Amino acid sequence: MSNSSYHYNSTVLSHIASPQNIGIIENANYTGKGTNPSCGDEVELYIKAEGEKITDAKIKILGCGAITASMSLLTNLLIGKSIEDAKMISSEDIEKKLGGLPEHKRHCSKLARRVLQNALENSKKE
Amino acid sequence: MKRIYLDHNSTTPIRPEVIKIAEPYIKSFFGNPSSVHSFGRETREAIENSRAQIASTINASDPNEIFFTSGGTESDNLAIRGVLNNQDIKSHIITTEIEHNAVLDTCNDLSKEKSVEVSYIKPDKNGLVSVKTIKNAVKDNTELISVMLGNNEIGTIQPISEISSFCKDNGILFHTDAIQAIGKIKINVQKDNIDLLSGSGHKINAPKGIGFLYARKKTPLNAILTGGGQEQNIRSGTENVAGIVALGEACRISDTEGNQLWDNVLKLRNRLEKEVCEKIPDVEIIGNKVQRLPGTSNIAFSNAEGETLLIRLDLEGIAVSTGSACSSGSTEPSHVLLSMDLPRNLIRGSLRFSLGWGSTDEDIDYLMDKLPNAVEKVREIAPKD
Repeated sequence: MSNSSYHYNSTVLSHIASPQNIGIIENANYTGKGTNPSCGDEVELYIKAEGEKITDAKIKILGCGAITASMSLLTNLLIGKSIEDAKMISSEDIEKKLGGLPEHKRHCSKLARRVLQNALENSKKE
Repeated sequence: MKRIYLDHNSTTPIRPEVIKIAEPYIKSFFGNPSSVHSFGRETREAIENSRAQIASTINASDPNEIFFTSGGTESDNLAIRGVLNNQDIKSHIITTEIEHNAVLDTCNDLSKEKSVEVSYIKPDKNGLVSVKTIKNAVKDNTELISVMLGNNEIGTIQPISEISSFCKDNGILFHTDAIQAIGKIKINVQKDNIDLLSGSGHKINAPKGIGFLYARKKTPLNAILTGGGQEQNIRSGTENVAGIVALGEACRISDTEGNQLWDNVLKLRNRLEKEVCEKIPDVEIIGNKVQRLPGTSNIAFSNAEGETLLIRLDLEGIAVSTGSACSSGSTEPSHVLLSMDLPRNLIRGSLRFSLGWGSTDEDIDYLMDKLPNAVEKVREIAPKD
């Protein structure tokens, strides 16, 4: 089955069925929000870091399958990474780890990337 | 795993009786209906029987008013392009914003290709089009008005006979896309002054790849598929014999069993809505609740997203559809729901349940076993305002 098929693959489906790291972090070091006005996706990302290392990441999502899977996967990618490495995560990285997203859904991995960027650049680090 | 199909507006299972009647035309009777010899005669007879049956189902005056096509999309294209194809003067069409894309995109194309003017009438917030607004849109060069009989997303039944009799009185052709309505409600093209009507097999338990266009005698219709001259030169191409036979049988069954079937489906649909409203908070039924096809239920779940709900249900074996954006290859939400000026957060959380032949109380039991939990889970993970 090709990666950019019409339907979601099994990796994406399992993220949708059981999204990882749902919740908020009360004293997060970094928080990011993002929306996709055209489809109404709403996303929140919370990151806890000890020094340069990310120790926890949590998400809240109101959105389609692709954004759910992208954010869920992103939290897995973030935990244990350094902030510097986290800044390098691209939307293609997310899609690759998901095994691909349908073409018309690829804007969701880009939203995930934007929310991450928003969190890392705009939040005050304690 | 249990599998429950609640997406009959998308497509329908083929009934065993339909398969039984059509099967010999796949296995044994393969003749070209245009052939003079006996192989052709037997398939010719079969398709003409179907033609007569379909004419009877919609109360057409003559079987020769039925033209077989590859499906509803082609029928819509044929109706609109076939009527406007050879106009020298700039024609005007009136249609609605909630038509299927087969009508909308065709009108759009014509407005660019052939300099045809198109007026798109907006429905009210319940998805009903007003006759008055249509009348107000008429101009001297209005050639055709196209309004669907039953909407595929919300099920609303439009005031067709009022519009068509106005058309008749004013020398305007009237087309209706009846694809979702055939079999579910009684259609009478003579009584209702319908000039053109599109139908599709796979919405009434016949196979995909077959449909028909009814065109009242003397309607000036040109072919869009030219070639061997089949279907009285209106639709060339060797006939899909098995499909035609299947379609005829599906119509015959709907004549005899339709009332009972759709009375039952109506009860199931009403039960579904009642239980959803009772068991799940913050839901809204979309569209006019009275002027509606019996099996369709479009429900909006606040603070939830349709595609995610759909997938969660799918993982439990339940098939439904959604009007939210980013489904079915598009990044835009349902143009029908947008046209009704529904708030975006309602459109985002909309699911369409569509019942039909084969739907049972057990289906609703199972749905109500899984749906409340799915909605709750999706709402749990959402940001709080």
